[in-house]
Amino acid sequence: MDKSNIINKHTPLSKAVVYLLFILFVLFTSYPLFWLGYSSLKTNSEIQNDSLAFPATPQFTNYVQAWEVGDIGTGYFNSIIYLVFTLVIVVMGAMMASYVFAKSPYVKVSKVLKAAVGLGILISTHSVMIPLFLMLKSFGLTGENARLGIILTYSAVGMPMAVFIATDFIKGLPDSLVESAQIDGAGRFQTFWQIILPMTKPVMATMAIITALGTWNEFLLGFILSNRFTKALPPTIIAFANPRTPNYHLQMAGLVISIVPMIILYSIFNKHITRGVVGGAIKG
Amino acid sequence: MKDKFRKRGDILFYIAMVAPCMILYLAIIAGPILASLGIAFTDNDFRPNQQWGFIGFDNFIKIFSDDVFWKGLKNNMLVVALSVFGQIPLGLLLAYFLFRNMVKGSGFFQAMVFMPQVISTVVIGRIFQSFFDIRGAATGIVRAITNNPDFTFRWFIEPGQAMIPILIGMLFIYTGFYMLMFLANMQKMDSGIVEAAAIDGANEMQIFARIIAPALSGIIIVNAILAIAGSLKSFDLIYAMAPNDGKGLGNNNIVLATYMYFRGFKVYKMAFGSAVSVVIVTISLLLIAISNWAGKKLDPLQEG
Repeated sequence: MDKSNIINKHTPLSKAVVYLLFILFVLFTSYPLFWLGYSSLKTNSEIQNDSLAFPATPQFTNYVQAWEVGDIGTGYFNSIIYLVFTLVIVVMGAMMASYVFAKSPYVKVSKVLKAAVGLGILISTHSVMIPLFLMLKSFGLTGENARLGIILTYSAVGMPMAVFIATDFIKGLPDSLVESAQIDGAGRFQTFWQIILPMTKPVMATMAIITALGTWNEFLLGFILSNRFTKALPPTIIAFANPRTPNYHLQMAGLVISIVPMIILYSIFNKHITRGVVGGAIKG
Repeated sequence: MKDKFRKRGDILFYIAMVAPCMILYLAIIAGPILASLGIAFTDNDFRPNQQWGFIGFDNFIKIFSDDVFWKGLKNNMLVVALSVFGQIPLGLLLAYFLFRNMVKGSGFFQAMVFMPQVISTVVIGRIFQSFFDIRGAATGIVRAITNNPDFTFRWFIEPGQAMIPILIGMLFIYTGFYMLMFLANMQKMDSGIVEAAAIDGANEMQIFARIIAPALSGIIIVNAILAIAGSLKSFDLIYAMAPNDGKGLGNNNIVLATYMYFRGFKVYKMAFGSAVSVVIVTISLLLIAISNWAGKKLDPLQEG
């Protein structure tokens, strides 16, 4: 869109108000992180004595200690496992279902099923917490063996949104694609795998971004299902960075360790991430 | 084509394709929701060797006669109100500023306002709390400015102020999401209308109120539904800022989700907790239905 010929007449006052609002937001999101960053390099007594001062000598060993004391490595390890498996299951499962929802002749059944799945977007996943916990516990899929249970849970939670985005997208692909593939003698799975899937790369990326953000940052369900060996990153950090325990310098270092990878990824891919999140939430 | 499709193979193919998605969904979302509906009418806490039976509406009577539940509902409605009347209008306004190029470096601002979306909410809650803590930077700054070395934020101490940090946190975390949604929809609009209005001498207020806002009314309703649904899910930020057992100050910033967790799950009162979750689902379906209905009334062009 060419914006150069849009006429802009703004009074200095309104301009100042607009800038002020944005700067306020930027300060709010960046200053606490900046403060957290340099505070994580202070000694515990420096933090207690003066909350604003910079560290006299940066204590990089804080990070090493926090990593060990907080068992953050375990959190990262588990989070990565949950992320990878959930992504594979959600993207494949949602693509398969969406393809038949969008293109099969069973329109009525598809409508009902899609609407049922769609409720999952709106209903609070926390309301499944108790029965889900009891069910997975009775199968022995909590605590030490929670990994499978957590992967399945995250996959189910991510599925509704993914199905909605993908169905809309595949509906937009021409029917003739499917028909001509089948006239050429391609089987049903082959049509899906070789014709449809390659054309859905953009929507798969959108799905993957939304699912990844949700999975990586999910707290409550993972928290109640796991124990200290199977905990993902957010419950690990919450258990460690607890205001009632006094090792503030290590807690701050732990918080930094837990967000730095996300911030680096976001600063590189922010265009893709924002477009993915918005693209998923916009209808049509 | 059609008769060719109506073959057994097609049905089998259909079933095979929807199976992974539907089985997961039924087993992990739909099934448990129905199960909690059943458990809610019993006193079965699933303790080993427990005697249990159906007790009718007793759990619900207990919920509705609990002051803490009403406090949680009130706090939750505050969160709903903040998202519908705070985050959405603010997001709309910020999106409009970006859309009309009123700031330089709009890409940077956009990225910064959206950033909290990519960080775990519980981690944000902890950072936020330590920032406003007695050892935090906000306290230090206010002390330096006001020259009062004893100043502390009372948000985490004073019962009446318990919701303040949570509401502020939510405003800053989620506004960026709505801003981007609105911006993307504005950019899909025909820019000719806005240009023509500007050439005809319409000011920004007029363009916003007469052209942009009406054109986006459908999207605003969709976002309001998402906001209401999201508000009733709010747990992470509150849990992270008040990691207590639901006693003391915990009751002052309790919302329905934390009420269910502290009063049901944490103390292993599974039947009571299930009843709470039934109440939460009912309230959210009700609110969603109302906003959906209002949306259709206000915007007849929007398709279901």
